[in-house]
Amino acid sequence: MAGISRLQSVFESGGFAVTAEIGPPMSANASHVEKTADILKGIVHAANVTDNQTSIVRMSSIAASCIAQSRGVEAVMQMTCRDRNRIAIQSDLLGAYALGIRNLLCLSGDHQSLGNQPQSKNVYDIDSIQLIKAVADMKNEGVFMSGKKSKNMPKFFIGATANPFADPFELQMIRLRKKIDAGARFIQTQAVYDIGRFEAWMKEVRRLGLHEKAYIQAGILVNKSVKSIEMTRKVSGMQIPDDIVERMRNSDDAEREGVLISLELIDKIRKIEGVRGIHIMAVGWESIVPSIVKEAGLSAD
Amino acid sequence: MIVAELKPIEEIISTIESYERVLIASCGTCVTVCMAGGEKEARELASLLRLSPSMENTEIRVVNLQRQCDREFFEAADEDAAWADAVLSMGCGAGVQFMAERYSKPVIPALNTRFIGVNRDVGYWTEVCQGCGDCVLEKTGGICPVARCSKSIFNGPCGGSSGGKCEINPDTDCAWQLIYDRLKTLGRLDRLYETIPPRDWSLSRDGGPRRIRRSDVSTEVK
Amino acid sequence: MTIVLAGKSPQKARVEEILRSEGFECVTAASPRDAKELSRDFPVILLGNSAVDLFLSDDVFAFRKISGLGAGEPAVFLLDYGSDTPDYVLPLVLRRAVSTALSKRPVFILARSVRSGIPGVEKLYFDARNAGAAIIKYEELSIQRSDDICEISVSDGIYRYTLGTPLLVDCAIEEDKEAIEYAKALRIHTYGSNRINEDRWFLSPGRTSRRGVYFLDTGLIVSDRLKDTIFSIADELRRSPDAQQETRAHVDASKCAFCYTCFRVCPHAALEPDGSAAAMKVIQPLCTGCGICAAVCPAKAIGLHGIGHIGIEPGSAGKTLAFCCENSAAIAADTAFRDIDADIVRIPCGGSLDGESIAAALKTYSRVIVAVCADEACRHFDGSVRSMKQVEKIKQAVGKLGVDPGRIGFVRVSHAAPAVLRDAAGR
Repeated sequence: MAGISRLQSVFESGGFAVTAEIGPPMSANASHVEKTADILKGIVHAANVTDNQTSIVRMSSIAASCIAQSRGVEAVMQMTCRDRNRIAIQSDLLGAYALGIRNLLCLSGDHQSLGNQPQSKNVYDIDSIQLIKAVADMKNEGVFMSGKKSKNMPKFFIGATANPFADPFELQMIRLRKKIDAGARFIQTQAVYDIGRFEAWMKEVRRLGLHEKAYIQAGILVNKSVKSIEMTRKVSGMQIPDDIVERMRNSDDAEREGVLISLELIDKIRKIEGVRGIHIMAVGWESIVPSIVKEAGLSAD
Repeated sequence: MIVAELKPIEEIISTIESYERVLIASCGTCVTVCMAGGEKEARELASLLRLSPSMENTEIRVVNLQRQCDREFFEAADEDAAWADAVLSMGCGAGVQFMAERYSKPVIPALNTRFIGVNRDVGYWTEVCQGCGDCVLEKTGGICPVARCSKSIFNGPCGGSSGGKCEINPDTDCAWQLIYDRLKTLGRLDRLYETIPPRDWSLSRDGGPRRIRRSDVSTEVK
Repeated sequence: MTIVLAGKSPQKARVEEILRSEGFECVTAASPRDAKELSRDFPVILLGNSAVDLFLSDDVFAFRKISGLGAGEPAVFLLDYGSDTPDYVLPLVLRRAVSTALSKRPVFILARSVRSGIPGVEKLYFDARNAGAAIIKYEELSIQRSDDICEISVSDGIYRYTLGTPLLVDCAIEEDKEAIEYAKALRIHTYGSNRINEDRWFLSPGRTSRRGVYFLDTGLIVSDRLKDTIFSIADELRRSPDAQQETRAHVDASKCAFCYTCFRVCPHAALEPDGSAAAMKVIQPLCTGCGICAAVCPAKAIGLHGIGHIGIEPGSAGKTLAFCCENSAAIAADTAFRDIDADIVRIPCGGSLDGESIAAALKTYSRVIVAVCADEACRHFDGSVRSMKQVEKIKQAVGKLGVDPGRIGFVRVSHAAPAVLRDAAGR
């Protein structure tokens, strides 16, 4: 068994973690994943590999994660509760760990009605918090969900998501606590655009001491165009301050503006106490990640 | 109560037009109250079917049964069922199946049984119960996470809850928002701090078709 | 004889005095629930006290104010409602605007948001404009008051107008919320549950949708009219009850599924649960025989005395069948169908017509007309709307069967407009 994952050691040694995303293809084309991994190699500490995001069929996260790792990029495998029952989940976790995957992000998963196969059956055998606990029990107690003990059980570095901008605030805090109590050790947030609100959220996180129990990574979404930022706002209901949208609208070089906005946000976020990393989501634009990481003065070394 | 809805009339016609004698059997309980399969709906359906050119060679009769889920009520339909080539049942899925067990004739559903729900206003019903077999309403302030949360999450909400609405539909309330609001009103937000463990789905339909037998009322069972 | 008074009003003592002088004993209901209980046995007068500018409610006051205007000084009515101006405000305002304009004073009506095409009110708009009133739908408004004069600057989005007037009438009505609570308990018809429906032409002053329950909004009724209204109510109560109508509803308890639908839809609150029978029963004195309950009952448990199942005689192809509301179309039908070969079925209200009857008629007649009162003229409030929905439903259904939905016609007529009915039948 290898030691802890790179991502985990960066956090634990006090570093500022940088992760990005790899979106697997809607095909069996391994080279798509390889190419993206090659862009990110040496740039980020690890890369999330999404799991049938927005309920659209893509190459599985476990397979794409392996491909990424074979190219030297540590994967953060994502697992949703939408498509698999507890038997399949635990089985996949054994397999993923055996294949060398060490980081796991646990999510509920977008409802299947949002994707292109809304007729599919709704599994949701367990929810994301129950999943986190199950994965933690495998690690800490060496047990399956059935209570059966076993040797050589996976010991994942467990992550979860959080939305600093959702309401009601109190309820979202309760959920964050439950996730951390269940065993989540790192938390990736929804994309941050509104620094003020993010700071308010972090203040509460600090007050509850949660930043010491789990490593908080702020999400950054890099927009390429006005259309992209407007879609982001509309589709996810994300709170984007008007002045940022205006900047994208009024600029001559939207791509550059999008990068500048991200850099400014990263800069402000780094100064907030309790933030231990950023997670860069460059939707369909992974090639920009190296320059952002470089210009932000971050490094994966 | 069980809430159902009439199937599209074209679909109904396609399933009965080939028969020469069709008996429409209404049901006087749940489907009457939800205005899908009671006497009124049966008679209206009959009068519409009689207008259809595809039904020209089909004779239609209507019989009204109090219920289709207790066998004694069928006696009122026996004679007409003997006459018929096929029976169009306007009961819920249970009624259709029970009729099919009794009569060695094709028994065809006129309704799509939708859910267990409540009547919020005249003509408006919403799903609130899934018959999951392991009721946790005490933990959630009386709002069901299985039926009313799109993902049946037990420790909700998910990240898709926005403005109190579910990500799947802006008209669908987020059940966990409702639960939060209710527990807050009751002064029991502490319930939300309890993590509900994974559900034993074998008590639901997932465990196979269920049955209940009461030995205290039946002399057939020891 | 005892009358129950419910609700609050500064005029309550006066109302009681008048009633006592008419020989009635007055009892006060302590709460909406109490009023509901008492209404089973006694007539109820619900008092409300909506607040509205006296200029709108008091003719004498208005006259004095108008006389006080200088030459050319306009009267300005302000309807500053954020969402649409409520329907019941408009008749009040427009009537006053018309009478003011007719006294040769310039009149401006400034409204932030007004729906057009409200039945019954269109004529008042027409009259107001004819009398010279200017109606401005504004987007921006600012008012500066100094001494007696209001300087108003208003923009409709294109032009800006400035007016100066000593007579600015704020047409906001502050509704009596407590009266609404009583109204709900007494189950009288309300406009979208925030205003007691008293504006229908067929309701004499003070009458509501429920017989034996009266409503006096003392904030809106001028004192003389208040007295007259109470006298007329007193007369009505003293008269012996009407001879039993033939067409009253009755519930077959053995068929009733106790779904409460009839209870909810009855416009006259004439149904109540019969505990011992686990079914609904009709409160005969309140029932008007409109048949809406019978049409809506999913168990077909309600019948109307004197009207069996709407029997359709086998007609011949080429013939028209007209379902005619007896309050309007049936009267017009005598003239309308003089030279058209049409069979007429009289119905007590459009709302008494169910889908089955329309579809059954279509089997034997080549054309089926449903002719009912105009929406706002329906004595049972939403009967015409109900019939329209049934017609729509059946038209859609027959369209899917390959039958021409154009064979079904729907028309709203007045008893005095047979030509409209004839045209609909002839098409």
